[in-house]
Amino acid sequence: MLTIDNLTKKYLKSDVKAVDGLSLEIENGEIFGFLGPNGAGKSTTIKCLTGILPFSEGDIKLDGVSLLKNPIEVKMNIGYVPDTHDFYERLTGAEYINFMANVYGVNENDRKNRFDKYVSMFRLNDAINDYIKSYSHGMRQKISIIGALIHNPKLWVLDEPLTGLDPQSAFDLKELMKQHCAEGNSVFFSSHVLEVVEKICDRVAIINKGKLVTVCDINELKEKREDLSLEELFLSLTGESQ
Amino acid sequence: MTFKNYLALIKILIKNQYGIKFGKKTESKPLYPVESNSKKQVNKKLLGIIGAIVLTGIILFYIISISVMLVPAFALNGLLTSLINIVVTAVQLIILFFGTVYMLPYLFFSKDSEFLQSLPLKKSVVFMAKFTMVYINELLISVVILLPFLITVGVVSALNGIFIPIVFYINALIIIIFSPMLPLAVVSIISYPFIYVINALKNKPLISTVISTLFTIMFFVPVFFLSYGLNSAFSFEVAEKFVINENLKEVLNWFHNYMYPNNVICNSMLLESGIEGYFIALIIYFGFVLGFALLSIFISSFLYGKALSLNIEGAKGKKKSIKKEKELKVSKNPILNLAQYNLKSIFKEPIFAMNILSMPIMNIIVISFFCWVFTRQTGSVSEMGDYFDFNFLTLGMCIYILSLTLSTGNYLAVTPASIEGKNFYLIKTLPISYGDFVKSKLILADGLSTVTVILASVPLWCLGGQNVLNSILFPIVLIFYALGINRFGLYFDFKNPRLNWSNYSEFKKSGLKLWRQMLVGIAVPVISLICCSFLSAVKMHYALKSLIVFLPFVILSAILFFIFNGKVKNDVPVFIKNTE
Repeated sequence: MLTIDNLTKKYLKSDVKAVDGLSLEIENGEIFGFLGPNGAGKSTTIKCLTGILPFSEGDIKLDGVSLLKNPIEVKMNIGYVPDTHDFYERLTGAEYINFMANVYGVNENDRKNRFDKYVSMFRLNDAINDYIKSYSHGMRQKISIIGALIHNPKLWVLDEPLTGLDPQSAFDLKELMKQHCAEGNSVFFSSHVLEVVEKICDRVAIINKGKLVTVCDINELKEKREDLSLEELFLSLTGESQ
Repeated sequence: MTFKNYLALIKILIKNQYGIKFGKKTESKPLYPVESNSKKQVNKKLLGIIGAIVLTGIILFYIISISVMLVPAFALNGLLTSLINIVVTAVQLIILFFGTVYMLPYLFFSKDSEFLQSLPLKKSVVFMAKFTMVYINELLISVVILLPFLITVGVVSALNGIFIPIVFYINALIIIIFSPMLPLAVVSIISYPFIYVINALKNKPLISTVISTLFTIMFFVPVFFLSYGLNSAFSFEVAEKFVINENLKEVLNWFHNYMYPNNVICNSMLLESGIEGYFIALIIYFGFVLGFALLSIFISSFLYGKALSLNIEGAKGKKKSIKKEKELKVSKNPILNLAQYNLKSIFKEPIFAMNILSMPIMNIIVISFFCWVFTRQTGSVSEMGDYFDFNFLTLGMCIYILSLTLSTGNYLAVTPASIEGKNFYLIKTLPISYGDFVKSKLILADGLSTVTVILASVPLWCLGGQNVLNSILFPIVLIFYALGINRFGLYFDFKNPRLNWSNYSEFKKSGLKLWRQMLVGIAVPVISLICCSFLSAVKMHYALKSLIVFLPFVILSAILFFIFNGKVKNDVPVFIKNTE
């Protein structure tokens, strides 16, 4: 279970709190959507959650282990797919995934099985030995996803994962998220595609100007407010409706 | 696990930087065999290897020939260890410069910082892997220069009857391996203010460009004057042999005595203090090296954490509002407009701007230096009794330097399309014809070359001791040469641009095909220099000499200009054709 407790983040050169007292709990087996307008603090939250950014106040715990106190132990159980993938371009896709497996200490058997499974699923067999610099954005995204899943993490964090994916790969990714959660793991992802969030998430949180606006259960929302779509809810809560 | 992670990371960093693959351990063996699937890749590798061999050959030739020339004079005067100390220090200076240029971005401002932070790796592991990469880079400089130099020193000294013990070569190896430690420690210390300055200048490209250019000049000026100091201390008493005067001896001894710890290891190379002294020297040297290593690791690891947060968080800081332009300027000339836009966008990348700005500045400095050095040799000539026209050699040197820069150093001519990177595609969407687009590029390339030639002519006029004919022909012929070579460079870059890059290091690695430009750009200046050197020793009418040197330039320029001026404007490349 992921617990975010009163997370507050202020950037070095700024007086504004990018994330202000955010508290959330994500259960095992849950797909959690994280929504918000541009500059709301979604990516900052994700970067704090994955240990990239230090935070000013609060704590983040995964299965009771504090990210502040045991960052390596927590990171070992997180798989992260960032929104940009412009590094290590002179590696091949296979070399990159192999490196990720080494870092996460995945044994040979598991890495072989997972590698074969995901490479086939994303139809990368022909390109896996090409240099990453020759990949399109979508292919880089797929490699990044495989790298994040090679150690079968308890928490899979994705920042705008659907950008650049072709329809089939987007579908596969959504299925993969469901499958990952069905195995007792959790998925935490940010997105602007509300239809997708509405379809696959169990719960969503909406953040605006660094503050949590609401956390709602998608099924409850559908049952109670048939007249209100997630899009309308999002626009009304973030003040973007006309 | 920590060491395993370090190894895994360092392997990936080396592979990413140099394309070298490691070992066959199951753990790091690719799960699918990596195939070189195209002929193109093989050809590219082959060309790369040939290029590396040629470049190494040229460097080796220079280092060995200079060493062969200097070693006997130093050895016979008992200054062999001082010479080694000077060269080692010079290499450390180079490492200091390139170390600062390379280490700061690689260690503190690299774009993989975020990715590495998200992995379950200790900061110390990431830092040590990156620090090792910096060390390997600096070690390469040390190996390339010091290995041939020290071997030549050993062999030439032995041939001149100087006793060279086996420990000379052991110490040579120690010097090569550990010399980068001192400059790295200095870089670590000066990194502290640097990372704050760089961070503060992140969104101020013009200021950072000016500072970087000044920094480069600050490095080169002392190097030139140091070499001039050495040069003036020699005299041509017997042709082809250097004799060291007393002044130089004093300077060298003073320098050698104070240059710790290089002097300790250099002194012990000839076993002058016996075996016991040798081991004491080794202990002292390794003590220093260990101290430098610990100092650089300690300071850099402390800074790494600081720089990391500045790097990751700095970009998200509060931005000042950009002042709106008071009025929108209306220009009716699309070509000039495009050239202006182009120049502005290039200047937003400080390293490109620095290269462009440094082209005329460096030429003024280098040409001034050579004019000053060569014109002072006239006295030695009369002592030698032979005819040698140093003024003509000065002209040859200036033509060599300037034509080399014009052929290969003008980014606006050699990589006019590639320099735009992905922005180029935006220009493709504009309603501007290809011909106009090329003209806008030529305005910039020719403008930079013309300014460079005119500015570089000033020191030749003032210090070069040239006659009126050469003073007039020099700028005119070289501007004409620039016009030809610019069209040549432009044509081939447009034919095969490399646009898929987003920063300077990617730009450098993007596989620019510059071999044609490099070939002509190096061959022409070298031939002209050889020609001038030969003519300097020949008694002939000065106008005829000038004709022999300048005429081939005019012919070549005319050929290049007339072939490529039309071709570059009319021969629309395929990747542009499909949008027109």
